[in-house]
Amino acid sequence: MAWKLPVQIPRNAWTLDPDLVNRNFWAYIDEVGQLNAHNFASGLWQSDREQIAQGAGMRVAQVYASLNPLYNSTHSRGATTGVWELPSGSGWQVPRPAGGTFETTMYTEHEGFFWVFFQVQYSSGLSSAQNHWPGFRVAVEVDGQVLEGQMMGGGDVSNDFTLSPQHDVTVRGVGAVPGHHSSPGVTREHWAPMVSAVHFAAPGTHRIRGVVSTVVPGPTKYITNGELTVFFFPKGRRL
Amino acid sequence: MAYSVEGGRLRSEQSFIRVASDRFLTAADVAREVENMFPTEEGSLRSVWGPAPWNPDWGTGGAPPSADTPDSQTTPETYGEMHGIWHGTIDGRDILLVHTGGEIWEFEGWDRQWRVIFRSFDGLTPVPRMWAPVSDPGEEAVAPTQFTRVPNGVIITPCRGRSLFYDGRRPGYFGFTEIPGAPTPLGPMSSRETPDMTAVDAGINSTNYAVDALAGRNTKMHRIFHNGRIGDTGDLGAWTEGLDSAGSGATVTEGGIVSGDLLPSEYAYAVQLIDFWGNLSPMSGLSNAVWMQRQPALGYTSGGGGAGVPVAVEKVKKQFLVTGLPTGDRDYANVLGRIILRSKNRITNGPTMYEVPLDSANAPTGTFATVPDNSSEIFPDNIPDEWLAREATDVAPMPEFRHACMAMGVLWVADGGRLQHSIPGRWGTIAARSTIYPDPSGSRITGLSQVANGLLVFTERSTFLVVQADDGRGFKVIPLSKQVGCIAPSSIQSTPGGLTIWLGREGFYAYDGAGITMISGDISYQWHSWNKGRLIMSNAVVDVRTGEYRCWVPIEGSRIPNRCYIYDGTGWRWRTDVNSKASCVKDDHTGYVLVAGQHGTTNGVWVQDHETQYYDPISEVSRSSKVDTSWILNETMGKDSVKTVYLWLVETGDGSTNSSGQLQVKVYRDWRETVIDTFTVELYPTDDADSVSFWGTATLGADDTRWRRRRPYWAKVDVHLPSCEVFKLQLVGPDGWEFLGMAFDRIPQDERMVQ
Repeated sequence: MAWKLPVQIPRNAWTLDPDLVNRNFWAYIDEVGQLNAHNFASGLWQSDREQIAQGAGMRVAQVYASLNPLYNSTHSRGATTGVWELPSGSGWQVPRPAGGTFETTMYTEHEGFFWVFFQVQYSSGLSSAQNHWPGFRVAVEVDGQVLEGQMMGGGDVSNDFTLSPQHDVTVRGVGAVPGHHSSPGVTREHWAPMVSAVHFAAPGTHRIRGVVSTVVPGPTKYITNGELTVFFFPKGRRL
Repeated sequence: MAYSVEGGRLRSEQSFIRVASDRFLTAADVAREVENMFPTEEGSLRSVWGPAPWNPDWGTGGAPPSADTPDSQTTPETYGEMHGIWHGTIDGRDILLVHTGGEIWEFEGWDRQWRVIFRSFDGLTPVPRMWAPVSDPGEEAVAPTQFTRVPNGVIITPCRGRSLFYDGRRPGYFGFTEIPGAPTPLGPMSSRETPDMTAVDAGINSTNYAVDALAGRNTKMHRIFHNGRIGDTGDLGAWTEGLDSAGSGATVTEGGIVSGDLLPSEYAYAVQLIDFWGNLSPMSGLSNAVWMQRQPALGYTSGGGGAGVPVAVEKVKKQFLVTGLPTGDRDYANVLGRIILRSKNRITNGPTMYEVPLDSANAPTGTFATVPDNSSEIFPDNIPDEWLAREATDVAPMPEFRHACMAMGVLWVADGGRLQHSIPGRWGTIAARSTIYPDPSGSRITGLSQVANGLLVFTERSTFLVVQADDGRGFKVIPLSKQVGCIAPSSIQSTPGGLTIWLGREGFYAYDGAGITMISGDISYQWHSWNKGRLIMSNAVVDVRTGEYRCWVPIEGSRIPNRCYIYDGTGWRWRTDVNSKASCVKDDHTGYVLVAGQHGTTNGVWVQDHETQYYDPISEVSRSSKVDTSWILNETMGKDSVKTVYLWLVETGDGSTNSSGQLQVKVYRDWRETVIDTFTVELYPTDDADSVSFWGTATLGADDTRWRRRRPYWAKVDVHLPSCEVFKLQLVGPDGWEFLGMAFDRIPQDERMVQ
């Protein structure tokens, strides 16, 4: 059981001895390679193994912004405090609704795989009678590179209209599903495009972002909230 | 002690004190007391640090564990009176168990909390994994709960009651204490005492559960059986004559069919339960006998009447029905199946019982149970005698033992003066006729310990060694001592050096594979202060890092073992940082010494020699760490003057702003425990003060902040003890002080001695 405890806590007026500090660090470093279930808080581990190709994964990051869905009793839409408006034709950007951001940096000791999950909720300001395919593109970006294969959405205003937006994702963990956000009182006008990507992770530092972009001008759209979650699967090791 | 001449003075050699002795006259490097001092890797003695609470209050810090129940994820639990602790890895699972109050808890690091595994039934929450009687002896003077590791789990033996078992996944009782009830087999009976060859079935073996494959019989046999299989057969005998006399015309080989008789047969049944871990219950009592009369293999036409026609002799064999199969406790006994035992035809084969295999021609043996469930109550038995290949395992009930130990490939359990062992591989199955009474006087066994050459068995006043018998087929007992025994089962530990050490009535003893030696003569004076009525509570560990044997003993009227005696292979020290009701060493790379006991008066699990920022042990419970030298003799038998004492210390820090931050040197003389003088010594080399920085005042990154390993230095104390016979020093330091050795100068009474 790697349940770590320092050796001795320094007292004021003691000699500034590096050995004491080192020993306290060693008590922790000693755990590397010996970690087991007792070292990870419950909830950190995803127990739904059926959904995870490699049997187990560790959620290493989760960033999200949360704002009440953009609606009111009269279904008026538009900018309210904290929403983030998509600039038209501005290229890939990280939405920042309500002060939140969808960006994280992480370090991996061993090679493995990231499974990145990114979803944002938006309001297009269009008629509530129509199903909306997002009129902007949503994607996962790893180390500055947008993973084109996982992108969804379109840059054309025509993409705001579709009668059958649901996509079945047949490959677990890869693909995109435009979902209908079911927050209170919301009917159709709030949608949550979701993308996910499985990406090889070499040892080292990685920056992972959820990004959106528009290509051509279309109806104004507002990002209200969303979530970026990253799981890490050490290669060849069943945790 | 050797001296050198230094300017008219005699300067002693350096004394590197590490251990203590009660005796008046000892070597100068043996102290009278070494308390709360830890031997460092560099060869010094440093004041002990810690303990750390195993599961501190991560939120507020400082406060000891405090909460109501072990189901809270945010606050540590309130421990009850501690009775036992164990750590180990079972099948890759990392298990830490404690016995606190009337509950057995398992630690769940992912929630930073404990979970109740066993508790006596009270219907309250949190609901344990298993309701089972767990004794709470409170402050009674009883032995700590014994945890015994076996290959597939750990046996938990509280001070009273039945032992429990946990494999990291499933809790249960350990072994079967009860004998299951006998089953009730059904077989045929005869409706006539003499056969009637004109009747449908001749009136033989024809009623009750009469199931065979004879034509015209109302068989209930399953189609896969084709025929009955039970019963011995032989040539047509007397019945043939009867048939002939009745004019049936039957012949032995009519139509090419080899016919014959079912011979008189008698069978008996019994049942054994088998649990999740492969443990077997004792065999039930024998059932009523099922018997069959001699019967010719004659078939009859449907509807009956007329004479029988000889048929293949296999068709006269029978099927039986075993009813009243006993079941085990359906909640917690973990019974996985029942093994049905049956004799072969007892008339010809005797009373030996065999395991009835599953009804599978492909796998007649090797299955784990005849009935692989714990619910069905009947079993149609159509297993022929020739399939009965495996004799029943003769098993004794699991006793309510108090001590257990793995040795020589089996588990040994001791109950009173009786020693029994398990079947290899079935640790919870006690082999019948394995009982040994090591002490012929029947003294109660007080401890067991595995050693290289066998099993040590202790009573309070004797010690035995159980070894393999010379023929390799059993065990034999070798008496080691009829005077020395063990009084505290949890005090038995083996050191890396091969010594097995334990606490006897008169002190500590060691067994080195050849003989028993008392090793605590140096501290025998303290024996008077031991709380004799509670020595059974003493408990010990061997620290992985230092290899020391540490045993907590209750002294000076304490109700809980409160002094930890330390034996390092050469001598003794002691420490008082934590009071221990039970202790263990973590069986992993950390090697932490875990104590289930009290720090101050706070119950809990404590980690020795570690600290955490969430708990300051010194502010919670103060303690002194000291070296009390022996009485240092004047070897000239005159009254010399002691002038100067040199203390060799390792710098600790600048305690000048705090009186407790300096070393107190108390001086005694001429055998009187009266302090003559007290000096204070700085715990850093004052002539080198500019070269070091101190926590609390150093500024990170500043030019004058220096990281330096703490270095040894000499401190000189001018004690000026004129004309003394003997003298001694008591060195009492603050937290963190470190001692290397000492020397002193003296001037002989007779100056000529110098020449």
